[in-house]
Amino acid sequence: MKRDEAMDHNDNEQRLMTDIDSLAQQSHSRDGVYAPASLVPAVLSRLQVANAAVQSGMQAEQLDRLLTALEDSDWHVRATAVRALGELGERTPVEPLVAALNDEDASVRAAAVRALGKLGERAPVDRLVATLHDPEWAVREIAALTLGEWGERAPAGPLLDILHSEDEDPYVREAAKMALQQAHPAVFSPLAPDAVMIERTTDHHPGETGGHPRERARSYLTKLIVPFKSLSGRSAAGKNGQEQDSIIEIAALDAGAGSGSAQQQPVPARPRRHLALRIGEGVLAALLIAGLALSWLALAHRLHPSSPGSSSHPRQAPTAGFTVSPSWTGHDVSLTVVDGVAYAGTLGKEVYALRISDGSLLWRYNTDASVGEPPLVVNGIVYVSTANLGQGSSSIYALRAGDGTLLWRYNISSSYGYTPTVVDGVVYVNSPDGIVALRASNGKPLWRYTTQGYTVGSPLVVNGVVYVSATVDQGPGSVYALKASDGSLLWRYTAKYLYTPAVVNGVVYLSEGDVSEGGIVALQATNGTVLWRYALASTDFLSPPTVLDGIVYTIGTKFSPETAFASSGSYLIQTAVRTVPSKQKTPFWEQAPFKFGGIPSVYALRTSDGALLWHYMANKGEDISGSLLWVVNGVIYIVTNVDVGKNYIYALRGSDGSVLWRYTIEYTPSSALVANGVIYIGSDGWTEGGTISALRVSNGSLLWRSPIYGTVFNTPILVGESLYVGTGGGFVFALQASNGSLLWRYLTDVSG
Amino acid sequence: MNQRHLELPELLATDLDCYFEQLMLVYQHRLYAFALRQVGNAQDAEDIVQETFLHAHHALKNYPASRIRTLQLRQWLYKITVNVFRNHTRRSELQAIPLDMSEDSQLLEIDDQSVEPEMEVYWREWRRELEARVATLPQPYGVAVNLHYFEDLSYREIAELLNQPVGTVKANVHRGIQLLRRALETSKNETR
Repeated sequence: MKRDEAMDHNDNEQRLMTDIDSLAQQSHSRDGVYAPASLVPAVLSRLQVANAAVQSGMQAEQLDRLLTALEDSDWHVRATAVRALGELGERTPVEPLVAALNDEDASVRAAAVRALGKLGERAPVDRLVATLHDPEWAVREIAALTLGEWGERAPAGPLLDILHSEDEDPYVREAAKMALQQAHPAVFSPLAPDAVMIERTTDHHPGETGGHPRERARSYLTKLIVPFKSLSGRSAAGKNGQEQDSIIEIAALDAGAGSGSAQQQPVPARPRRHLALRIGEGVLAALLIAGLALSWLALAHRLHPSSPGSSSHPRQAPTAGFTVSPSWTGHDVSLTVVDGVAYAGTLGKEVYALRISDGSLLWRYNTDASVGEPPLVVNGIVYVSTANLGQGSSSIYALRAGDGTLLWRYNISSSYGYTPTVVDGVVYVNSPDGIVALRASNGKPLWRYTTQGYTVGSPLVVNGVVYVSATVDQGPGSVYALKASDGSLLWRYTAKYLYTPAVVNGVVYLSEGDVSEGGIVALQATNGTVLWRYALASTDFLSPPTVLDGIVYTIGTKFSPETAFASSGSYLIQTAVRTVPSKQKTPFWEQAPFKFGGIPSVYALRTSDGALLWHYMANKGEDISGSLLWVVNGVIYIVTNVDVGKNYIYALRGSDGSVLWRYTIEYTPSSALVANGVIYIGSDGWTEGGTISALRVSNGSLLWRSPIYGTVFNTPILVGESLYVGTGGGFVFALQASNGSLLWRYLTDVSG
Repeated sequence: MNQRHLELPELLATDLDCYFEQLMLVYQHRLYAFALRQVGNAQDAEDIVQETFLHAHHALKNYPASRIRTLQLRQWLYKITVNVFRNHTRRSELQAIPLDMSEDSQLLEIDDQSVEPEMEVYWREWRRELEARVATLPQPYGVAVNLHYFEDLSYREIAELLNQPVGTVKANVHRGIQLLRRALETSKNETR
């Protein structure tokens, strides 16, 4: 792999060099003004002369020569000497560098800031902070960036002051923002317009907790539990007794974990879906320890139900179960891009339509509740699902795509948001106890069907049949196949803990989750008869199936309570199974229940008879986190978490499960898209401020990485050469897909 | 902007010493033309661009890779060039030829508004002659006109680069153009 990587790198370099050479040839003033041929050689010569002088001083270990160079009349020599002094580690003298902070040339002062910043404990903190007020922007910029690299030691106040100062140079403000994101990600929250997005708080993010890994994990979980309790307290009036039972278990864990301080500290605002996951993690951990494996299954399902995907609804939201707490101050933006327009729904109750060519606002609509999933746009109508936790009301808004005019609105008596599916002029939307079909033009109900238990996910409509999943607390789940035209029942399949199906070529594939006996089942779509069933007895959880090219893929997890706290990572990412066809037209979306403390395995079954083709089990020690999985062009991509700041992305060959490559990433993925030979990964905004990275599919090498201010929960959207993402920081970002550079960004209203 | 420009920050972040020369090759002519307009003589222009590249090199050495990747190189280089030019002007006491900037000059009463289309046509016709006179403008107007009309930077980009409000930039561009136009007409009348 290394050889391939090196070859790829060389090829890429070669190509870029050629490009740049040719560009340099044609890069000139349009008026035919050319720089003299002596210009570039003169600069190179000056660089070499100064470097040579400094290098000889360093090699001879003659500090005197470097110190003499600090007195040189040429600022460039002085700056080079300052930089060289900063490379001496223990031997770096502090006083000459402090003196260089007063040099008349800004580049020398900037180099001194940088050199002093590397001295660790020896660095004169006050002097460096004072350089944030240097008269030159270039020095202030370096000072901010340098402080950012100090992590927690960096004083947040002066950086915040810069960020809030409207008179400050934009470059310096940008540097202060980057520094704060790097050093104090927990205080970075988008509350003010544009570049200024900070609230003052001293919360630390989970990864910063010190101590033994086990303690860190416990501390981390304890922090997660706090919002769960507050959330549950608010929803206690709800009908879910299961939630209240779980609160007791969590309280017990809380007390036993011994990190009471975390209980006093309100957990920083977490965007909606992430919190749901962390809640699930807390629930899961508690119940694993208490040995209540059965009871949390239904709760997990309820809190975070999975959803069907449909090839006819490429941007179908993954779940109908999102909830929104009024106390959350996250500003997550859920994005859809259709016909040159980005439609953004926000937790701040707004819907925005932005022109994707330049980010200009076309229209804006204010709903009366939070929008937690990407709007769905079909035939010129924007369908927006809203939810209002605690008030028991959610809605589907139908807005005219052209101008945002409200066409109709359908109310649902539930605190959960329900994302509709729209096919052939009919809107299918789940409700707490069934499904309703609405006429897309006016929102009038066409038919209703009442299910046993509460519905899960969104309806899946394939070939005139509507598939609805519903489950009963601690009871069986069912998949209902209804005739799309009138809602009459065609058949019903019942098993324990069913997740939403995949329907391919007249066959319905289902994951049956059961603690004692899970499995994958294939049903005849016409009548629901079982074609085959593959039992995975040793697996506690199964992700919904992904079907591609005659193979059913699923991730199964075997829980092992003793490993639950073995790793300090303790991150829990939703297990998602999704395929994105190479043209990215019809991403298939599935969302599985979360996993915790188990060993994930990938299973590949033959669609024709359910025979096991291969089975890949993750290495021990990589077993804590959930996984993201994509299947694209015969390659499966999974993510495992090993430790805090260490995750692996695996590429497995779809035909036999062999490992093609493994790539290590230090941040926690929150979403991803595989398209055109590139994996675009959104990272957790809480562990690093939020970035998008692009990895080459062929070998996992990094192409670029760009900051996007907040977690990207929804799959990035690729249109042509541009990548669009909505972030937890309230932004819509448009990036150049080839290199991650910013095309434009739009900040939604984050004042609420 | 050419897409290939966009790849340079990544290369610089990866290996500055290897790719810095490429940066110079790509931007030397534009920066030189910009500097030449600003100072009006070739030797000073070359000195300014040399200094600009050296400062850019030191800045890139200081920047974390993540910062380099986010740089808009063209604007960033102009920003450094403007800095160098200002210092150069201060040091050499190079004074622009004063135009009519007295308090009662009507030129100072021009509203902050965009340049009218017919004026743009007029301006294009006299582009070369005007270009040669940018250096005679007082600094705030010269820099703004140079960046906007000759280097195609938007008002917003110039505002970021100069750390000035967009309105100030617009006004300076407008006033600069008016001053150039007037200077040119005066010059023509004198030669008749």
